[in-house]
Amino acid sequence: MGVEVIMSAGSQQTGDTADAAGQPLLEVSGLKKHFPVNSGLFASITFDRDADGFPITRDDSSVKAVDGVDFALEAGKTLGVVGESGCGKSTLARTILGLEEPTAGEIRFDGRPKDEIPEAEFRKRSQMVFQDPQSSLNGRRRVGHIIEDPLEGAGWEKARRRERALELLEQVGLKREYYNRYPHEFSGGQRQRINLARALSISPDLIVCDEPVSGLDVSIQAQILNLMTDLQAEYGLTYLVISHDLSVVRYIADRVAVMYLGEFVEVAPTDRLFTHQYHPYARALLSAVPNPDPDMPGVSSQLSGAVPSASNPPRGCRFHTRCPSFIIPDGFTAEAYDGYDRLRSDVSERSLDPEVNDVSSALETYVPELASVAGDRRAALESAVSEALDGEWDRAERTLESEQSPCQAEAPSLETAGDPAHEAACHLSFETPSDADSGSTEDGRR
Amino acid sequence: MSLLEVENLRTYFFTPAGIVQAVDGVSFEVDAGESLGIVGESGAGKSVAVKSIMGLIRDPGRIVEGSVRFDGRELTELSEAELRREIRGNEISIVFQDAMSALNPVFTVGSQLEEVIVENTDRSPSAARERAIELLDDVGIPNPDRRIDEYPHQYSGGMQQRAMIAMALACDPRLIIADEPTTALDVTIQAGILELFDEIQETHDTSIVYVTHDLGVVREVCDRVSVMYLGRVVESAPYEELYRYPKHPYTQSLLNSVVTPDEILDEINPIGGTMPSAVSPPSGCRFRTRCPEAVEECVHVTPRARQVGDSHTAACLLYDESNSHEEPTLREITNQTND
Repeated sequence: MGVEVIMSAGSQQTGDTADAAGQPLLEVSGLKKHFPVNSGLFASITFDRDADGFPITRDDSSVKAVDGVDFALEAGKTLGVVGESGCGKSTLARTILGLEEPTAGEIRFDGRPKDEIPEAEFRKRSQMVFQDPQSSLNGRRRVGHIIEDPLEGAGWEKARRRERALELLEQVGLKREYYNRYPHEFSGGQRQRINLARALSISPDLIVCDEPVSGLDVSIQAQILNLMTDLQAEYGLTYLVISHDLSVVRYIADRVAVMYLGEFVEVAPTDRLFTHQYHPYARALLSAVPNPDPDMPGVSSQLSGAVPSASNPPRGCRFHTRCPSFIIPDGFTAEAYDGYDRLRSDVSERSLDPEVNDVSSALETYVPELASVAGDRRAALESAVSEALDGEWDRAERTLESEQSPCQAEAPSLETAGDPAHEAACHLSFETPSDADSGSTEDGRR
Repeated sequence: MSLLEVENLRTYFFTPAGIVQAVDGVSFEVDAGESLGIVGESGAGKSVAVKSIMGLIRDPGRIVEGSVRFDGRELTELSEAELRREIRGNEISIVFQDAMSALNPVFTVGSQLEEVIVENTDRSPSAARERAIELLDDVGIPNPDRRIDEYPHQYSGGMQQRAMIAMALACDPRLIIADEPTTALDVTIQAGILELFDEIQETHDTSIVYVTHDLGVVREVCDRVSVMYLGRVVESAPYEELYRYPKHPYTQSLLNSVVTPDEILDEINPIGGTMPSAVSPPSGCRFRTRCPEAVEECVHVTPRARQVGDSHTAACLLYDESNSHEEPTLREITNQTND
């Protein structure tokens, strides 16, 4: 651990109190969580007659639920993480809290690596609120006792625990008399209040909320969101809010990260993200949210196809298979590039279309629009086809690779977009955000 | 005459804990080719109301009063066999929220679709297969000639819902009831399904009753909307009229609770409290316990729907000058049907 870290963490901090604003409470870098597709030695072994040498192969593929996430969350602020189901947002939350062991990367809490913080201290300073208030409260226990759980773990004595629980019931908008009731006597919104009371009981610095209001009616959602904001103002809480609902995130978060297939694709201050989206995925996600206001644009479904598998994510930019702004290399038309793509996928599988027997028939089969392709591109296609026909698959693959779109060639990393606090990971230039004239898409993009 | 006329419908559930007055005097109409949204929070009775139309209420539930007329025909008087033969599927079909549990996992999507077609039309099995492929294509399933032979679990959530819609369309019904069909789906998938409903209404001229808790969804699909609260319709209007000029205090507070990604609100002003139980609902106006406008009279008088604008009605004493009518008591209603 570096000296500067000790200074920043130790100089102004005593005991459990939260850090001064401006200092990151939570820092995550290069965080990965992969789940093996097959667990255990025997489940992962398959008999493979075609393998070179010993006819047994080991399947060590894994679902890359979280695959390289970085962020810093300031004390007293709220980061919202949005994405579709399966993007890895819940796994991210669970990994940060230590409910999953990270595969790689570092988590720093209050200036110190999380590994060096004693378990008991971390548990005391971070709490989680789960999505389903029905199943996250033990139905056989009184709510007062449920709220006291974290205090009991921290060694508080009984009378003090009870006093604190009664106090908390009031703070989350319930009544002290509810102390002896059971969870089933409460509605969904009230149960989520109980969850919040339990999370707050130990005065944590960080609360991770996984879909805190989904499944609740709009009026109840609004009540809970208001309560969360009030509690934050009162106790200086830091929130990490995971949600599929952009409206919720817009209301509660200071900063928003949009997640797709295990990665953050765009991160920005909330106001900016909802007015200037640079990443096509963020744009598509936002345009799919129905708005009751008839003066606002209606929904449009811009995304085709399904989210690809997280065990075998697309090469290059993970979003390229569904991207409405996919960059087509100069010299190709969209149709011709589709043909190129089909050829490339067949070459990588080492089998051309059975009807192909020479270079011209191959080109005719794959790229009927050959005439529209620029000269040097056409020459590359021709030589790749003849290499493939000669059985020189590797060479053909390399020849084709040099013609591919940047979206397939390279994974874009998060880069500053328009504002120092705004980052997006996309090969498109960041000069034309979504709120600018949308008709001005440049040539060569479909 | 409207295609569907629901009048003073009451559907109660007779449970050991008491009589749940899930739907209590609901009226609405749907014209041919029109789409009506029924919106409300959970427990408002929206699902029970639309299931009552189809005769899908099971014990301990019962329609205790009211009428459901479809194309002039009284559906509440039909037997289960008549409903099955003459109404469900070929006149009115329904799409549920959970497509996975509505599809049979051990049969291919195609065979389930073909069965519906053979049952309800005079097509031969091979013609039914052709029609099934055509329907899957209509609802936007890629490579329908191949995917028809797949099992439901091979479809994604959005595709399963599209397959359900194909099944609902199979016999060219005149009315489709959609009960929260997109609630469990991601917004990007939902957007495609909402566009599909628009398309269906345009190309098939089908009437739609769309149940949802989401006003944004109503705006996308529906011409008109009825707002329900605790078993009653509190307000009905064309969608834009309702959004711009909400009259009922409940509609107003519902609109105030909505958070959207397009605007930043410093503070949302939700309705306080929760919906009371439908076993012992408040007397008089059912919203009065949470209503900011409630007065003493609301305790005693049940407000009736009054004209408050162009084809716009609201059931609130604020708009009712002649408030001297009496509702039948619970005892009177339940005795009536037991006779």
